[in-house]
Amino acid sequence: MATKKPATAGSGAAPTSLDVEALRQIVEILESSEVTRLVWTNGKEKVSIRRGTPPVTQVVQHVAAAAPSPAVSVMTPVHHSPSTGLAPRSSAPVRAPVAEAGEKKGHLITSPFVGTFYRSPAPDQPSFCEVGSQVKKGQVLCIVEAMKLMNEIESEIAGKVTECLVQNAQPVEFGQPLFRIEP
Amino acid sequence: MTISVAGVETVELSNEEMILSFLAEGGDDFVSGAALSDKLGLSRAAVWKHVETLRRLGYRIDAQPSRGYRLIEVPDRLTSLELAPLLSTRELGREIHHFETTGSTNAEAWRLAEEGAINGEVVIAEHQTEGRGRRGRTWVSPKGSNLYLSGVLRPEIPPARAAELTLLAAVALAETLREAGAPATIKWPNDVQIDGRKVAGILTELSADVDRVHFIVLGIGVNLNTAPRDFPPDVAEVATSLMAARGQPVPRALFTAALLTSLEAWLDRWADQGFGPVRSAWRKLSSTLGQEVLVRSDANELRGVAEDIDDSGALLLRVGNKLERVFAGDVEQLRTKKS
Repeated sequence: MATKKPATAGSGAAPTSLDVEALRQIVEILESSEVTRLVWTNGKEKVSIRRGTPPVTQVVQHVAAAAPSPAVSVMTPVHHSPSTGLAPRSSAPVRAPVAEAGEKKGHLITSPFVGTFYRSPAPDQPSFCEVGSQVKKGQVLCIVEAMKLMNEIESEIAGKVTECLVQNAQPVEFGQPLFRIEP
Repeated sequence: MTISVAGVETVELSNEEMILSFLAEGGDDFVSGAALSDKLGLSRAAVWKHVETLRRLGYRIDAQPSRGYRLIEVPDRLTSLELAPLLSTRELGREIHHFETTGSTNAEAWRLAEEGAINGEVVIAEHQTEGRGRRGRTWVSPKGSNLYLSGVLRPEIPPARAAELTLLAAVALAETLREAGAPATIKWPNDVQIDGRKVAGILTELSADVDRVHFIVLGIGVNLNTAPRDFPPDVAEVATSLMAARGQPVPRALFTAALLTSLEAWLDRWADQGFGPVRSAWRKLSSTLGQEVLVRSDANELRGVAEDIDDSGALLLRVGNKLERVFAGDVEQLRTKKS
């Protein structure tokens, strides 16, 4: 699958019309308000800011309208890509995007209930995904079953599967991490 | 047009459905054309036209100038025309999407739910070309003789409680089969059997995010009027039908209406009182508890004695000194020791 990497600062950062100062001001306003979530769209650009626990600030750049490849849609948590130029520095009035040291990168997909985990739609069929697979947002990663209730778990983000944390047909607990997806 | 049926609830019915309701209420008695035109607010000529429409759809309606109309025979179909006059539900089955043939009613219901179908909308097919079972298996779905039904449910519960519904559905189904004269029991979690042979299966699919259920598709297949010899050989060994169990054909519309009514009553009780009442009814109807069973999953087998179900519906299996909680798998009930 052809993938396109997000532009990095070194290779000439993609310019954005929302400048860093404006973003800081928005974040400051949010800090002193009750607002916990803000999504701003301007043509192909989209900025989504969320406050509260767990603290996450996400910047989505260039939401591709008709992406030929799913991976073109770049969804990057700020603290993982300071190269976008939008990441507030430690002096910035944002608590959110400070990554905990030692924590592995990527987004964890967790189980919605206690049940049995399946990597494939049927025993004789291939897995929905493998470590290294590129997945789209909304793509089915696995099934969790409880008492013949089937729940297809979808990826909440686009990215690469970097870890599969449970073996096929094993029991899983509520909230147990199943996959790690790196945007 | 809105009308009160049986003085209980208010539902939307077509003119044909209303005529059928009144004729069904009349039973063996004639209902006069004047009474019908009065109740429907239509001319007697218009009533006649609707009766003719019903006749073209397969209804046998006796008409006598001096006495009025009488319903003699209803076609063996499961559209809302047949079901609406029989239903006493509030929401479940009030909107029926009927297909002569479809891939799978669960897939149709899922699609409708994604497009915004409301709680209680139901898909019924006369025939499924890709009837589904657990873990990619098929559900044999011959044409026109059984029930293949999927309902869209939108309960306000966390996803962790959604599996309770699968046992609830088995309870409603087993009770309806018993009322129809068959000694139905439930094999964990929700296979419904008669004398150890499968008469009905339930496959439920959930759409949810971490803390909220978007919708649930509850799929139910019931072997009603298929003769066991008409099943494929591998299925015939393990399957049965309601007709085979009670020795006479089943009026499918009556059975379907009774099932939907029972399901809604159980859903209401569950919403009010939680899983407790479902759990105790399940225990009474279960053939699994107290048995020595073998549970097979994709990867392994577990053999033990089925002691109980817990408050989430999981099977509590005594394996040696350990009590295992089982969430998924095929249960084979081994021969009981008889003294």
